[in-house]
Amino acid sequence: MIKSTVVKAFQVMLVMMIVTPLWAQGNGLENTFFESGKIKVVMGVAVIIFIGIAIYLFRLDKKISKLEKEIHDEKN
Amino acid sequence: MLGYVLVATFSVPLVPGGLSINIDALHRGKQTVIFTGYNTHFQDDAQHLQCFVGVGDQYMAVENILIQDNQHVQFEVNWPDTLPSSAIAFYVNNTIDGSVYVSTALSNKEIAIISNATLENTTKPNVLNDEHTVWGFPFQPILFETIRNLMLHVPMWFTMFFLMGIGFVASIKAMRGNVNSDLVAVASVKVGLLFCILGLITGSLWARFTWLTWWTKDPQLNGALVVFIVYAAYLLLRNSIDDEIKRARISAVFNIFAFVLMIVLLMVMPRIADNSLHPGKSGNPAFSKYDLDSSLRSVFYPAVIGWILLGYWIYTLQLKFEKLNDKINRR
Repeated sequence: MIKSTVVKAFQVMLVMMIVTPLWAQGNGLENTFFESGKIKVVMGVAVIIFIGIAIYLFRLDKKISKLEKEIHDEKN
Repeated sequence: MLGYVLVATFSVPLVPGGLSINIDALHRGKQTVIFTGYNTHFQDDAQHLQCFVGVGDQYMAVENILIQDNQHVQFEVNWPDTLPSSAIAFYVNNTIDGSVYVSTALSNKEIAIISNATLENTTKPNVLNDEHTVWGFPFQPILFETIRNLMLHVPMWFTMFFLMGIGFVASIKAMRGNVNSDLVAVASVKVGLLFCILGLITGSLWARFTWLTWWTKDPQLNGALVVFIVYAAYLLLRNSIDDEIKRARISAVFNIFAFVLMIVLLMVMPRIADNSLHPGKSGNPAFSKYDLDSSLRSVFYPAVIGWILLGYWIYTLQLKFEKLNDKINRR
C-alpha cells in the first residue's frame, strides 16, 4: 500500500517536472497571479491545503471503513 | 479556532502601501511619474497629500501633483545633473495612509552619481502623519497580499514538527520492542509527511510569485526536501520488515535519527548558512518586531494552534487505522 503511494507520489512529481516548465513560460494564466496584490497566490495555497487534507481524509476514511467491515464480517 | 483563523486570514485588509511606479529608467530634466498605491486614500485626503522623492538620505520636492483617484497620483520630478545616490524612493504622504513609498531599481544612463552631490533638502519634508491610521496586516514590498500565507504555509511546518515530535517520543519507547508505540510512530510520521508535502507545494507556489522561481537552493528548501525523502525512506524501511518486534526496533532507531536530522536540517542549518531567503534565518532572530506585528500575531498564534489540533485529529484517525490494520494482520 505504502509502496504504491510512494510510486504514485513519484509519478506526480515526474508529471509536475514536465508540466511546470511548460506552464512557466510566462503565459497569460500565470501573469494573472501577479495582479491585485498577488491575492491569487494565497487562494492557490489555501486550495492546495484543503484539497490535500480532503483527499487524505477521504482515503483514510475509506480504508478505516473497509477494515471495520472486515472485522465485523469475521465476527459474524 | 481554524474558522476564526481562516476568516481573519482572508478578511483583514492590508494597510496602505506603494505598489509601483510607471517608469523604469531615469531621464535628465523633467520626468512625469505615475505612482500606484495599494489600499491608499489619495483622493479621500487630497488636501493633505504630499509627494517627494528620497535619494540616498536626502530628499527632493516634486511639481505638478495631480491626483487621479485613490490609488493613482501623478507628479513631475525635475532631476538635476548629479545625484548623491542611485537608491531612489518615491514617497506619497497623507494623514490616512502615512508615508507610502515605492523603492525600485531604475536604470540610469543620463544622471551622474556623485556621492558628495547635495540636493535642496537634506532632511525629510515635514509631514502631518508618518504612520498610517488604518488597521490591517503590514504591507511589505514584493509580498503584498501573500503575507496572508503566513497563516497557511508556515503552520504546516509547525504541525509537521509537532507530529514528528510525537513520532520521536513513540520511537524511543518502541526501541524496547513496544509494538503499540511503533504504531503511534508510524501514524504520526504518515500524517507529518502529509503536512510536509503540503508545506513544500505551498512554499513552492509562494516562491514562484515572490522569489520568481519554483525552487531555489535555499538551505531551508533543500533541507525540507531531504527531510521528506528521509521520512519516506522510514516508511519504506518499516514496511520491508516482516517480524513485528524487529520492525518496531529497527524503524524506531531510524525514526530517531530522522528526527534529529530534521532538527539539524530545518532549525540549525538555515541559521548557520548565509544564503537563506527565509525570514528569520541567516543569523536573524526568527520573529523580530519588524517581521511580525500585532495584527499578524493575533491571527498567527491561533493559526499555529488550530492547524496543530487539526493535525493531531488526523493523527488519531490514522492511529485508529494502524491499530485496526495490526489487529487484522495478527489473525
